Amino acid sequence: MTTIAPPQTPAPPALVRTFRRPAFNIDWLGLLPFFAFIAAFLFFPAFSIVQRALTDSTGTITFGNLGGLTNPVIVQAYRSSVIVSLITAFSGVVFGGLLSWAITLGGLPRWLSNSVLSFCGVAANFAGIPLVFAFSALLGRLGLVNQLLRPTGVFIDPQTWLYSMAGLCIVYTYFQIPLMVLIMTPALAGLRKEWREAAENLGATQGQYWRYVAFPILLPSLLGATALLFANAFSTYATTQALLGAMAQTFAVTIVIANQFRTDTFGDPTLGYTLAFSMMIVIGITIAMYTYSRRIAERWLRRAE
Amino acid sequence: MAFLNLTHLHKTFGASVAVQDFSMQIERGEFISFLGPSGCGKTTVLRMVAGFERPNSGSITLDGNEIVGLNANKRNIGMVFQQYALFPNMNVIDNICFGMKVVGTDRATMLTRADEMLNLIHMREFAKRFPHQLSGGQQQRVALARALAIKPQVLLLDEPLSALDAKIRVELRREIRAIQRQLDITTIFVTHDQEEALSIADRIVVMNKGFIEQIGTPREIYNNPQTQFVASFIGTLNVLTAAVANRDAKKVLLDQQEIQVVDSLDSANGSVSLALRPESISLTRDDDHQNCVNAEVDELYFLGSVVRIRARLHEQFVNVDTFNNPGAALPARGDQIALYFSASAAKVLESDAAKAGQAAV
Amino acid sequence: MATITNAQPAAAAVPAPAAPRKRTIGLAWLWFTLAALFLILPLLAMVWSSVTTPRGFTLNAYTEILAEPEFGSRFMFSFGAALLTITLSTLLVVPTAYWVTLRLPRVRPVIEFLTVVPLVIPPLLLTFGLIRFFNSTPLTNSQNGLYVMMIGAYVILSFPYMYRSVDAGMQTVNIRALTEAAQSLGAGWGIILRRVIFPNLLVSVLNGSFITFSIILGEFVVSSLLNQPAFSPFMLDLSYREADQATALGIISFVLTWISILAIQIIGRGRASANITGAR
Repeated sequence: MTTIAPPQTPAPPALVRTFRRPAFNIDWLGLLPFFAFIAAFLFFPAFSIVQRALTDSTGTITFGNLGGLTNPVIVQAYRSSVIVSLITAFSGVVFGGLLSWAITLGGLPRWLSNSVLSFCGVAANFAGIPLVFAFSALLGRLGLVNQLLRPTGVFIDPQTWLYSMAGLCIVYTYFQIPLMVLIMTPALAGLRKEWREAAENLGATQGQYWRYVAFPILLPSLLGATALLFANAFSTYATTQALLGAMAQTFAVTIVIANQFRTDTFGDPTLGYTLAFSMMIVIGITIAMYTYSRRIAERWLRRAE
Repeated sequence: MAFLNLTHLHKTFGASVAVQDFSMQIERGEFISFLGPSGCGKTTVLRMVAGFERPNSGSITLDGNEIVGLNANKRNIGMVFQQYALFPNMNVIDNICFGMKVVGTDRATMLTRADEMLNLIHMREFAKRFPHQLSGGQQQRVALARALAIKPQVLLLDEPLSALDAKIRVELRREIRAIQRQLDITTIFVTHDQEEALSIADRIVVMNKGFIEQIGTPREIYNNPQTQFVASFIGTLNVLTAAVANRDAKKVLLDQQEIQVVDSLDSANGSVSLALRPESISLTRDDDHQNCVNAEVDELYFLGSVVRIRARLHEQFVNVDTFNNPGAALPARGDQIALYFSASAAKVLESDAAKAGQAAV
Repeated sequence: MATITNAQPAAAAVPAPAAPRKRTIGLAWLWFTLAALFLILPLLAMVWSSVTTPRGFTLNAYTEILAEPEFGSRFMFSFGAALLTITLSTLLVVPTAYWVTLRLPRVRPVIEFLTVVPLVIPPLLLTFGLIRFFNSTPLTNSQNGLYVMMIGAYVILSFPYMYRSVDAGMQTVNIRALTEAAQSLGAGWGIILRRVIFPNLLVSVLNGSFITFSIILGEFVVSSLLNQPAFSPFMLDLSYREADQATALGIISFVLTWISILAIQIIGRGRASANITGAR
């Protein structure tokens, strides 16, 4: 009774071609246009950034260029970017997570939940220039909020609340929340009803179910979402530029990079590439975290039934 | 007073009635199977016992206590789900200990009990594995151990074998029954597979469209089906139409051939439905075979230990099962053969579903 | 950075609420209301701001912007760029996806990975990489050259959505089985392409196209850095000059995006549709 044969993996479907053919056959030519395009417009450009960042004037590979990153302006921009990205990653995860919960497990009517999902699909894309217009219209000096508050004498100063780091956080959160909803809703929907019932059946209260079962199961997805939201905020460009104008440089690495390329504000032609390279590293790390988390989440939710 | 009493349970979902007037008494230690096609209400009744659905009316008492108002997590009833429902973030031993952990059992007791359970399901060496590393059969055994670890008063199984391969299904159902006997735990096993139900249950409840069709031991259900539904659902069965020839003498015409039955024809109108098991028909005459009809062989099916002959009467077809005898000659297709069976083998069927009260045994 | 998530089709998106408790419904409604306020108020403010002036309610902003010739030309520029991108992308993606599915299934994970990479590379870096790589080639020395680079970047950015969409579509209709069935019935490649592949993939291509269109219309980084007269940079410039008109423009762009997404959901009903975030 102890030996039970492992389940057979299903036989691979019959193919137009069999596997017996040698790997390097004419079929690979069919992928040539695609590969060529990707090479020309993605890989080589990416590679050339890395190359430029890591070589000195004589052409040898060196990490010396990275020293340029210690410039206080750059450090300031990095600090701001990281802080804003962390804050909005968390605000997005928390608030977006709550909204995602509300529409999947909260018991709201189906039509409402689907509308929210639709809206989030649009709102996540709404970032950029128009979003800044919207918030200016809301929180600006003559904005809606201040107009409505005029009788009470309360004034929301846009210098503090809009054209500042706080303002960045608020505006970023606007598209972080929908993104979180889009990411988490499938994960929450993947929480099987049977798990809750099994937990209940075994005597657990709602709280115990969430603490011991649901939350741990969701943890990889949550971590992955945090990573993704972080990367999302970190790479923002248009919104920051539109919101802060000339001030933008102190707040975001992306602006610094763009300015450096455009006008070589630091007087060091390589610096732009070094900056770009550093940003690639940051993004790369967060995306690796995201992929790893997703893999765990899928592993648990796929075979575990 | 029986251990588990289900009385006049009624459940509707919106406009559709899922369970109608379901009543049943279950003794301590019994292994009951709810059997029926999809949508017959068997799972709904099970879930009402577990506490996941509330009946619209009716009562459920367990060991004298009414439990309908009780929350699912307070009933001390173990449940095994069709899709195993093991917690993917916990390994085997943590899964098994879960029911004990949430009530605050101390670690030593938990581990001892978990060890007992692992021995019971013969999976000691899998203690640290995670669900996604286990096969379907293994996961289900862990699910069983998890449900039993809390020492429930009743064990509920919701089509636990449906997701498994055929061979594993047979092994696992034997194991489930063995464990159940060993622990002497009252069990309800829901399935749509009549072979499963027949092979391991003490009593079977056959359900259809929310009603109970019949309750009885496997032998009773199989040999004495009370309704047409039960007769056709259980085993292979010939269901034939015959015209009433002589009401008092209990004779009917089966495709213009007269046969004798023993059941009363008083309540029938012009024609009746007859249930005839394939194994009760023989190709050779015995003393108690009062009936004989002629038929033509249409097809032969070799099923291993049994040879099934499909024979044509006039318009209707009859399946005849004979044991495989390598020495005996089989009829060929197109042959004319004589079929012999006793008068009691041809049962007259009711055409309506039997209501709960009448079917209770 | 553009990211992709798979939102399930509308019908299956949200599971039926399972025995919700009274307490949680209340919390859910509360939370929903708060979130809705936060998400809708800025939009309302934008609409309000575009139709009110110190003198009162007016639609001048809209009429003016629509009459503005530059609006037309900039929009058509981005629109044309989008069309070109979609065409190129389709021409590259569809045969590749088909080829991979039919002839080289082992390569599929590689291709999938390659098509996800553009998602994680911020367009900013991509643009600079392009400028650097094509430096001192005709591409960087002329306006047309820069346009080509922009389209190249756009096509790369569109790959994840186009490929995913087409690939998903192929799996759904099991293009391999269809092709084999057609072949066994004696159809030649022309018929297979016309009658089997194209109709079944049309929806997927449209799906990916609408997303791409939406992205390109809202895209800022690439076009701004390459000095192209696109729609988004126009919006920003306008905001420095004519704030009201710019706001009206913002609303128009939002509505256009909404229509695109709606179109995707209507067309792609019953299939998994990919949702995106565009330029930030």
